[in-house]
Amino acid sequence: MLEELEIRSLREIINAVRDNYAYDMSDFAQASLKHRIVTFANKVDISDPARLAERLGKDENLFDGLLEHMTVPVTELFRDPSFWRGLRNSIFPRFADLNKVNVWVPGCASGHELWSLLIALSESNLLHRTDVLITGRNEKLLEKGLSGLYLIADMELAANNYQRFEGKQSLTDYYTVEGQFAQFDHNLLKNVKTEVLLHDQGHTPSGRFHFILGRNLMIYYNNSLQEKTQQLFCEKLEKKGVLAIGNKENIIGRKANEQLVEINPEEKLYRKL
Amino acid sequence: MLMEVLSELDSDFSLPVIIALHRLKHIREGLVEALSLKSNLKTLEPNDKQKIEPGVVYLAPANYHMYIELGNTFSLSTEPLVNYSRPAIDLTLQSAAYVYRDKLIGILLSGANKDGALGMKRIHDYGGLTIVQDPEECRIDTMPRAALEITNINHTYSTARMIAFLNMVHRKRKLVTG
Repeated sequence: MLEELEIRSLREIINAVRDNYAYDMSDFAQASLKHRIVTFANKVDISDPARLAERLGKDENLFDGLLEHMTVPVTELFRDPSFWRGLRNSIFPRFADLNKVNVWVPGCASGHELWSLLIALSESNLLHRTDVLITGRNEKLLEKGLSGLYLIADMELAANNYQRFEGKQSLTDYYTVEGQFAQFDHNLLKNVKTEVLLHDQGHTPSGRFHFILGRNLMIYYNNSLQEKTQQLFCEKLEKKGVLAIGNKENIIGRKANEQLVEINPEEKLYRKL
Repeated sequence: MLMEVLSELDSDFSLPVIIALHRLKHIREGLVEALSLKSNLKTLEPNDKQKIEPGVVYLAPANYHMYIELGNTFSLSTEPLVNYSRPAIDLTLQSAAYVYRDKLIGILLSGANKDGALGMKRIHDYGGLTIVQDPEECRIDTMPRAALEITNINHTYSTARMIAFLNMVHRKRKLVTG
């Protein structure tokens, strides 16, 4: 079993992946990156880091496995209920006069943020005039986010969060039980579009957005990539558009700080000037 | 126990104190405030990439794992639970062991599962000093016992002994560094 990854081995793995698949992990935060590579190495039973680097360079399926392991950090539906209450009570009303609301959910991953957002929009009667764009590294990951398929075992926590969010209905109204899974209602996906793009390479979708939901994405980046990504989000916001980051994140760059005003310090919601 | 240690540390205690504690995921407020009331030192929950300063007590925020990075900052993550926990003690200890090596003192207090045992082992392997709370004194002794089982832990201390030891380390350090 692999326990620790020395910097030199980590570099070998980063290089093998970057050279063969244009996936650059060199600006990822190191501690969590190491943890995820170590757990992946143990999952696929390759405990020698040099061998893992070599195999990753040659075997695209193995790389796909790593990518999936890397990009699906688990959160939960309605994580931080007070954030979702804040969004519904103080941000959604700002969209009342818009004919069309454009929302971007970058790095959709497990889809928890997307599905929570769709439910919240629907309960505020905004869903029918909101276009939600989700972006991610490849089709497979996007499909996972769109699937709306979660373990029934996780629904107790989700229901508790939903209750604290003070949702209008019961969470069970939004899914059907299929064996061990809760299948969320695909009618909610009507206005959801997907686009494959590489956030870490600075790629962004066309158009601008009234709201960007980017909580707990950039904690996996180092300072320099964080700053770059925040700047990109900032550029992609409409005037007076709103950016959400995780409640333990900060806007760090000078440029982004000049353009973004904190409108809810507790829930880390920012409005572009 | 933790409260007692924090309330008895010298008010000019010069080392950073980093705490990972199993806590309710959905309750963000209250714990750090309660610790602050007892603590002689500035006590806070760090933001992602926040710098680690001497004489400050840091508590892992609810529902995040908390790592130490080279360069002496924290980083947070929402990765899956480890040992049924987020924050997981093992992840904080293991990353701290890697960064601080023989400059680290790892302490494991009473608790209800094995989280922390592997982290203590890693600290020991990297030359750090390891201390567990005396299981006889613990309300729930699973945690210190799990660590004692897999690692040759340096000291098994009662709360009072642990406080005296930490203050002694601080005072000696003060003599050396001025």
